Amino acid sequence: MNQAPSMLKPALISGVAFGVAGSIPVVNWINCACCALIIGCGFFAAFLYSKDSRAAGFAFRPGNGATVGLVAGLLYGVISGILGGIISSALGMGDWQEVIDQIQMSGADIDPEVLEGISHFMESSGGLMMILIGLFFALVLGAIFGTLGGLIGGSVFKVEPQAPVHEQAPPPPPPVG
Amino acid sequence: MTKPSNPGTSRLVLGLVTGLAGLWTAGVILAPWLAAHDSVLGGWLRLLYRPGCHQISNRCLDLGFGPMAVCARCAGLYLGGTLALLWTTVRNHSYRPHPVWLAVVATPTILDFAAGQVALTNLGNWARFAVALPLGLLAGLYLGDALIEIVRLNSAKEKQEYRGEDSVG
Repeated sequence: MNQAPSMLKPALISGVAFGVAGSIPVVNWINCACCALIIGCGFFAAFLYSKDSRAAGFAFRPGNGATVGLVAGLLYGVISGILGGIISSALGMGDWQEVIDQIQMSGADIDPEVLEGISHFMESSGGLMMILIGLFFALVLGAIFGTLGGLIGGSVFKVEPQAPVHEQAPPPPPPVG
Repeated sequence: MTKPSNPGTSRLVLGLVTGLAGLWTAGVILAPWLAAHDSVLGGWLRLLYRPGCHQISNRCLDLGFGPMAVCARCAGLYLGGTLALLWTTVRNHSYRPHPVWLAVVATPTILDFAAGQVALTNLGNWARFAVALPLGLLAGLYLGDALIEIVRLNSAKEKQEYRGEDSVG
């Protein structure tokens, strides 16, 4: 009996590739289109896993796609969260003031004193707090959209299980004469 | 096409997911409507959609009470996905188009996105919405198929059959 293919390899390849892409400042704009990079990460992991499953003669179903998409999405979150935070800090981007500006632009009604308190706390904690917050959101989004991409990939690249091969009796010899 | 072996459960699961998708899509219109009626919730709701969309005002559709909470492209994707899920729920049968169609309907959106990035010509908001709608529809159809399949495999009888199939592989 064959062994089921490992889910870790496709999840790792997809999670690392898309995670690195998602942490590069201009490339990660693709996520502005409905988190397309994260959905793509789950979708690609499902594609790789379906290929492995097909080669090993195993079924590949949407449930498998969702699982491998979730793992890939979480890996995406870890890599893009940490690497993106480091790159943003190094390039002087991802300033907390930007986040506050965005909140104010969105029209959300927040007490200015509360915002000032949070700003003070964020500034005193240095870039670490921004990286941790970024990591948290990347993980949550990675889990949700990675699973979604994996589910869609699971349906697109579905592999039905191989039918059992029964040994057939040889056909009877043709009648003589 | 997958026919659910447990129609009640699959319809319930599909209905639940479609309801959530419908709420999510309705929120896109609700956010500017609430903001136009001086509700604090409008701003918070808009913030909820922030991680998945740039929300640039002049790239969002406006139905008369301010720009929607997401851009025209995202609105098309959300509406398409919700409609496809609704269709799957009503029929309680999945429909799985050939994967080539995914490439066919994704290409215009990818080209439009790429053209926007290199500052080439840009489609108007309604055109961008119309281009993204079929991609959302297809994604919704695949999602509906996946959900029906998962429910089918989790019904006791199918589970047993699936295990039997696996041991063969």
